[in-house]
Amino acid sequence: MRKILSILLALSLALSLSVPALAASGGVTYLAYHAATGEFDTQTKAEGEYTVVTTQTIWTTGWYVVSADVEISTRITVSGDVHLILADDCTLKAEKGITVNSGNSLTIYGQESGTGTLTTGTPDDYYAGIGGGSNQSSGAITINGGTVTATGGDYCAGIGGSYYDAGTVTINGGTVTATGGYFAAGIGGGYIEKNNTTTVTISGGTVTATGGYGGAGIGTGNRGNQGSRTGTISITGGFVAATGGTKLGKYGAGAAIGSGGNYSGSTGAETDKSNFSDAVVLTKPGSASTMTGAVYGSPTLTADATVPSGISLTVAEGASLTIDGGVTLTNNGAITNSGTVINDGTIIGNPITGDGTFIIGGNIIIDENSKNQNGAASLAHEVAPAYTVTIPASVTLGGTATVKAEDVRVDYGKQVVVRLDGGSALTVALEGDASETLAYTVSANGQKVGAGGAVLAVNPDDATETALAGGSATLSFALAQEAVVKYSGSYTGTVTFTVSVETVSTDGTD
Amino acid sequence: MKKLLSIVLALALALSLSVTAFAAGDDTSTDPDTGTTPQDTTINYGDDDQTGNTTVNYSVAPTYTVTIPASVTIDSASKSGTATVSAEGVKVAKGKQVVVRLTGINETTTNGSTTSDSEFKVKTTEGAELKYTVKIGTTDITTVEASNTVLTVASGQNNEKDENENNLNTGASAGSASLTFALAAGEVVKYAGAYSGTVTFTVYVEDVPGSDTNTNPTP
Repeated sequence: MRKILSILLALSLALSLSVPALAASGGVTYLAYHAATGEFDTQTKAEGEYTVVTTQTIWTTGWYVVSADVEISTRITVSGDVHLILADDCTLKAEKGITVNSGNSLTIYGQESGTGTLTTGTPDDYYAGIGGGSNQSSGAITINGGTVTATGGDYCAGIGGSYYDAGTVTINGGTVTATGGYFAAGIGGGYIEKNNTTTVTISGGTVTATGGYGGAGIGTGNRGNQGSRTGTISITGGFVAATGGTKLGKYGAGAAIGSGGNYSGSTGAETDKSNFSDAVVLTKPGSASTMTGAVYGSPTLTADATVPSGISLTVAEGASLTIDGGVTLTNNGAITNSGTVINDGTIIGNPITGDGTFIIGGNIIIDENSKNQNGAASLAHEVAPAYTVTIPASVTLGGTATVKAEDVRVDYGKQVVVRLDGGSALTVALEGDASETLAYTVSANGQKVGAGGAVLAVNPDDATETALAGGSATLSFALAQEAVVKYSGSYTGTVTFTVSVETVSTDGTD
Repeated sequence: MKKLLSIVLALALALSLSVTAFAAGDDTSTDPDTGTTPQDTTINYGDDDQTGNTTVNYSVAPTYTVTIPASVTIDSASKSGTATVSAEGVKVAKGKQVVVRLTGINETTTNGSTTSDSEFKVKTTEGAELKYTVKIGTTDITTVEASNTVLTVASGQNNEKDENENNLNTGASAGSASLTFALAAGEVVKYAGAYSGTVTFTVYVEDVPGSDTNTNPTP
């Protein structure tokens, strides 16, 4: 009995562990990133379209899911284009890291909570935490979500290239922490870029990168700047903290974001940050004693973030920092606002100082220190379009019918137009023998109107103080001159009118 | 030689000590009005006057926090919208007050030059316009005037309250004003669209009318 109970408990445990990864259909959901819009949406991989990560150390082209806590003690190798989903509350511990050599790619996704985790131990020397194997540049490594922590072996990046080579890393979301080994970047290149150039692109997420001795936090490793290789670094979003590796003997200190130091002892050059946008970037070059930060463009914090103690962050004039609803910014350092801070979430810790504009909870706050003693409230008034068009239900040839439009309110420069549908045949057919037809004409205000022609146009500008614009047209329906009536009987047909909102042109109708 | 060196060192030490003492006095005791530095009083045994005066200083910096709504929505059905402008933590000099005025309509700044409409309007990008009025208290206004005072809070009222209307006894003054933005009478909404505009409020610290202090509005 006890054995059965223990089996049931084990089954229950196993099921509970796999639940977070599974969608209702039995597939697995993940947050996909769309580069064209910069937005995420939830997508599903159906059961059978992915492999659950257990003990595999060779990942071939396809989809893999971490749906339980897994530890793999030997190094994993990516072969082909691999997509890895980190299910919420599940952890993959890759003790010796993951090889993604040039020509291969690894794309990592998280789920809604972003609590799925990939953590490397410290790989052997000459191997990146996630990236190049021995003396190899990395393939394309893309992180869209989850929590990823990677540490490089000596001479290799936490995420990126290994000894002698570069890294290609893109981060669009998630929480990423990377630490380089000796002389390597946290994110980017390994020691000495011999063959390729490091490319790091960050558009979102919370990123913390620390270079090994002489390596950049984000960028190239020590001696990566030989031949002016500083890497190509783009930051267009996210909350990024980068710390360059300190000097060690003759190996110069690394930049926070830029190139590693040099064998001659010179310090690595910081990259040109003028093209950074919509990001909060904290930097501490390896030669500096303190970390400072700046807000570039108008970023919105969509995940909790902390400005650590002892760190100053400046929102410069012209820059704007928004804390999204439900998000907490913890200020343990010193934030100075000379631009605009919009707090729709929560700010805790030290108060933000400065004479910039504060917008809190939808309100502009002006105090005695505000540089600008003006506050502009924006007014919004949405007016929905409206109109009522009446089409007669029936008309007898030889008679008239009225089409009218009332209460017309459409955008400025537009009007409501009623037309004879372009497909209308303008014929009536004999009841009982549809092949016997008679053509007729439609005239509006004495002018014949063909298929597709306008019978009525109402411009909203004709409204009065007491009524919105309206109008009507009396249509005459007459047997066509060429029609020959051979048979008596009842003839019927249908004419269709279409209503559209069109730009007013000089002729007033179309 | 050693004796000479010790004398020089002693002089240097004495000078450095005296410099520090003067510097401290300059920083803390200079009368900002007269520019003079009060001198310490030395009282010796046997002096006729056995009293000395000490000037006690205390500086309170002016403070206030004015809250202005960043956006106001004019409801389509009622064709009106309300906004509240408030001031709290007001501690300005006696005889002064914090004044909030409505100072601009649809202000735009291009190359450092600011232009503004004279009437309250919201507009669509297509070119439609609607006039509206702003009611401050019981007064409808349609244009920006120097007298468009939205809120006045004088210092010294000690009337800040918590959410339960209990007086916080902070010594500071507080106040608020409700504004109603409404479509102007007779205005016909001919066109649909997304209408928008701005109204700019400016905060001043001014003399309370009738007070003896000099007029010195800011900013």
